[in-house]
Amino acid sequence: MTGARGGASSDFKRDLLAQLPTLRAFAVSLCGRHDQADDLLQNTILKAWSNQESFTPGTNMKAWLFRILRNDFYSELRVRGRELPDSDGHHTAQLSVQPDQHAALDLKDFARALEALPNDQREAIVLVGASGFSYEEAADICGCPVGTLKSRVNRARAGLRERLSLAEDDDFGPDAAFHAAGRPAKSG
Amino acid sequence: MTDIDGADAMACHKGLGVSSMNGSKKTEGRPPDPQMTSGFFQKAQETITQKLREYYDSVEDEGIPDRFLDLLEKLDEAEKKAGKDTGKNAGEAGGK
Repeated sequence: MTGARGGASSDFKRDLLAQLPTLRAFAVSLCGRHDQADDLLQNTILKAWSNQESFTPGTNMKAWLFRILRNDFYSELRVRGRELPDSDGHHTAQLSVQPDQHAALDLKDFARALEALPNDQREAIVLVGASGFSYEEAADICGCPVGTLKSRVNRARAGLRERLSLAEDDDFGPDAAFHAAGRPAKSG
Repeated sequence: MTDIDGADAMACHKGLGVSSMNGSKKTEGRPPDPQMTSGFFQKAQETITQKLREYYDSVEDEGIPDRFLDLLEKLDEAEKKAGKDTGKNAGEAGGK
């Protein structure tokens, strides 16, 4: 092992580096905040580095890293609970600096809806819908049966659909004509 | 009754064939159009998929902050210096 250490280590470093952007996007999706997500990412890097030996070269490093990160996220949660949302360091706040106002607004609505989901559902839909994992891989990362993972994804979709279509109705949806005709709005 | 009729008329006038999406109460005589409903559902699903990717990509596109690249450099250097004792030096390098 000692003889190959230099090469193995730089392979490991290179592979880890290649996964950082998606790993960080996952962290931000989980936390909803950049500062917290970056702390989580730092811990993940340190843990991954000091546990290199437990990673089998040739296996799925991405899944291995995601598992470390989400386990860390949940143990942090157990220790200090989820932080109250505020605008500083919030991903939704940072999105507003995008040049395309309309797109940014849409994305902010989406980010809010995503954040409102229960952690396990948010995690499931992000892993499958954005990080590029199969249901089986995602279930393995989360340490749950595939059926459970699928049902979390479905509930996440339903939850997002509900929130996003409600928001749409309030602005310019079919209810607009209804409101104009004197029907009270169903939400404020 | 009059109010609802009025609203219905207005919706029709505006060409908003949307009654089926808001339930059948105000469609009076017209059954909800299942194709419309499932099309709406389909579209909502696609929007969610697309927005989720867009959201995720927006973070990925930010790139990796320097602190992480520095951290990896330090870890790597510490490991090379220490020879084999990875864990201890890695901890020191990261705990800035």
